[in-house]
Parts: sequence; structure tokens; C-alpha cells
Amino acid sequence: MIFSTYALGSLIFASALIFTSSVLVAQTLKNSLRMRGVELEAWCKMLRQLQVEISYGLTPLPQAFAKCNVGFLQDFCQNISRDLEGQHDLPKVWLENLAAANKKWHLLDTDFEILAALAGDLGCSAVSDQNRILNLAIEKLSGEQSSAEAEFGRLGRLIGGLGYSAGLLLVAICW
Amino acid sequence: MGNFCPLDLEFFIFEIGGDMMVGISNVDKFSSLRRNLLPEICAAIDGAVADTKDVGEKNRFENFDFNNIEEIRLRVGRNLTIYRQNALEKLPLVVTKDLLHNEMMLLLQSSIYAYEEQLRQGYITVFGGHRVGFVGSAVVENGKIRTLKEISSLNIRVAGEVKGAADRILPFMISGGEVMQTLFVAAPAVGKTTALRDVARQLSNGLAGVSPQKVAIIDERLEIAAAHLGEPQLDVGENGDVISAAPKSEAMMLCLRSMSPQVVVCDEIGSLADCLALNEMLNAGVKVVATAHGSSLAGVLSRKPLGDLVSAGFFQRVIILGRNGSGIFAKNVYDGKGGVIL
Repeated sequence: MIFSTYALGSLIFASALIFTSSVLVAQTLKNSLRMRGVELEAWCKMLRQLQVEISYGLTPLPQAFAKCNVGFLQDFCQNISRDLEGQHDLPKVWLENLAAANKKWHLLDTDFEILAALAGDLGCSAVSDQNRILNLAIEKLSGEQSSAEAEFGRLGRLIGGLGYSAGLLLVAICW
Repeated sequence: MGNFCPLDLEFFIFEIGGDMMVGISNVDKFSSLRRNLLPEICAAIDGAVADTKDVGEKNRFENFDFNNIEEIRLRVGRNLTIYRQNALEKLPLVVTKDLLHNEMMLLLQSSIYAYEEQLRQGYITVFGGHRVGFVGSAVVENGKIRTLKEISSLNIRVAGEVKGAADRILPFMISGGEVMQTLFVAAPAVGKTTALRDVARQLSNGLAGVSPQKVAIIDERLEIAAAHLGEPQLDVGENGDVISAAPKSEAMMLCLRSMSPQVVVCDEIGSLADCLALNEMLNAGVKVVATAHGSSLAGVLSRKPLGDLVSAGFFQRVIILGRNGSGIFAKNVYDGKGGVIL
């Protein structure tokens, strides 16, 4: 009797664990989908801020990056600003920081390519050209953000639902 | 010469500073200047000298005289050249396109757009008040130079602040404790701007018989105060206010409205708009100290509209400047009616 109570308890505990794990995996996937959109939105905001600094303030890039303070991109911008002091190789600084920070982000290769493409153009031309370059990047990132949000809307619930269903299914199999 | 960089560069900059940039002679500024202005050049020179097998050449650079440098010129495909007052010296470094590009991007803080207007003019003012001139291929839009690209030569003019440069001129432009409307006239490179800067500094600090004056410095070409990121790099005195990079006539009116100056200091006047703005200064009771190109009073009088202003007696003193071994001096001094004082 004691053994069967213990076995039942273990089974319930294992079922709860399986269910929770399944739901957590689904939530992580769902969050990853959501975060891409959030990050792309932050990138658009940051690039707009940079654009204002460039076109209205004529602020040199090291100081312009120091002024960009959009959420999770703040550290990235501060690092670039710091690395650019006494440095002339913006493409190298930009790409190195992107590569280092990208590990923590949820961006896809296509997003990363848009950002990496800025390396050769940022700071290298007149104000009007900088505006064009930044507008193009913002437009592309906005497009990616819209598709990321649509994807999240479409797949988010599905993945969430699948997490619960898979959890229940696994529990049922265990029983 | 292996010790030219980085250790001696600090000495080099310090020596320049010791002689010419007394107002900002502190270690932080010099080390920053070393870090920001010349590291590319220094590293390249260091490498080039290390490769030199000529012992005489190495010795020459070990005993290199870092004083009295006026200009450092980089021309693609040619040796880096240092100009002194009456001599030039070639360093054993052939400037490459990459070196020039890197040096330029460093000076521009990787931000060409921020210096667009200055690039259009062909020069930028950097930390320490040094002026860096560029030439290359021009991008022309609507008949005007939009910007320069493919820079082929770069000229670093070392800031030449000389405190006391106006000591021999000031007595001619002050009467009864009052500053007189004064025009300095001199040929290029005599030291008009150097004298004007020192006049601004001394009037702004006050001098014997003259109380400290509120001096507005109109620095259209960033030569007088050499402001970099809003901070004057050269000493303009305790009561000097600087408006930089704005057209002179606009800047004068702005200063008149906003800063209530007692003295306005302005370099290289000549256009009709400048002369009209100077008239406004006169109406407002503000004293003007200005400079103009020329070598004689007759030459100035023949130029319109400045000549009209001078012949109308706007300036109470017209001082023709000269320069000799001991500095800038007043070669001829005229009163407002053309009478000879000196």
C-alpha cells in the first residue's frame, strides 16, 4: 500500500514535471518569436534616434551613439561609442559589436544582414546620404518587424496551445 | 628615432604647446591631442624610421627639433613634410592613400556628415585649435562645391596662439581708457588674426587703464578662438563670448541682440553685409576691432565697400601691421581722417 502510494506520488510528480517542461519549451519558443519583433522595433527606434542626431545635431558618431538610449540597445550603443574614441575604423567596430551582441538577441540572419550592411555607410557621407541610408535600413527593419509580429500572431497561440497539448499527451502516455 | 613615438610625441606636442598654446597647456589636453590627432602618423613614422638603415638619418631624427613647427603636410605618394617659419624638413615616410584616409577619418571622428560644411570650405578645426586643410576631388552641385572626396593632400596647421602678440599695438588703439574703433590691415601671414586674438584676450581680461570689456568674438572661420565642439581652444579671456562658424554679418547682429557686447572683434571684413552690420554696431555704441587684407591705407581705401567705411571715418584707428623677428608691430597708424599718427 505504501509502495503504491509512493509510486502514485512519483507518477503525479513526473507528470507535473513533464507537463511543465512541455509548456515551458513552448513558452520559450513563443517568447523567442515575440522578442524578435520587440528587438526589431527597438532597432528602428534606435536608428531613428541616430538619424536625428546625425541630421539635426550633426553630432559625430561617438557622441551620437552615446546619446542613443533605447532599452536593451543602450549597452550596445555605449560600447560602440567607447570603442570609437580614438578609432577610425567604424566598420570593424560596428561589426564586432554586432557579432558580440547578436548572440543575446533573437534576430534572424536576414535582420543581421540589414544591420551589418550599415557598417560601410554610417558616417561616410553627407547628411542627406546618411538620411537615405538610415531611412532604407529603418524601412527594411520595419518590414521585418511587421512580418515578425504577423508570424507571432499566427504561430504564437499555436505554439502555446501545442505546448499544453503536448504536455497533456505526454502525461496521458505516462499514465 | 625609435623613440619618436609615442614618448617623444608627447614631448613634441608639449613643446608646440609650450611655445604657442600656453592657454591650454595641461597634460590631459596634450595626451588627448596625441591620441586623437597624430597616432596614425606617428606609428607610420616610427615604422619608417625603424626600417631606415641610414645611421645619419636616424641620428638626424634623434636630434629632431620639435620647436617652431608651423605646418605638417601629408601628400599622397610623397614624403611627410614639416614646415617651419623659414624652412621645410622631409621625414622618411611616404604618405599612402590608406594612411591619409585613416588619418582623415580619425580627425573627422568617422563622421563626414558632421564636418560637411567645413569640408566644403576645405578645412576643419580640431582639438587644440589646430586647423586641418584638405584638397582632393570636388563634388560639385549647382555650380558649388558640395564636398571633397578622394582627399590627396592634408595640411595640419599648428595653432599659433602667441600671448602678448598685440602688446606693441594696443597703445595705439586705446585712448582715455576707451577702446577705439580699429582696423588692422596686413598682408596674409603677417599675423592679423594672432594680433586680433591677443587684443580680444587682453581687452576681455582688462589691462592697465582699461577695465575688463565684454568682448564678442565673431569667428566665422574658427581661426580666432578655434572652437572645437563648442569649446574655445585658444585663450580669449575671461569675458570673451565666441560665436563660431556663422556668417559675420549675421553673427554680429545676433551678438548685438543677445550678448550686449562692449567690443566686437571680427576677422577679415570686406563684404557689403559686413559693413552694414558694422554700421549697426556703431549705432549701438559698440566698439569694433576688425582686420582686413591689404598692405597700405591707399589699398584699403580703393576697395569698396570697406574703403567707403574707412574714408567715412568709421574707424578711429587704421593700423598697418608688420612682422619682424621680435613679433608683430604697428608699421603705420592713421586716425579716422587719414591723418598719420605713426
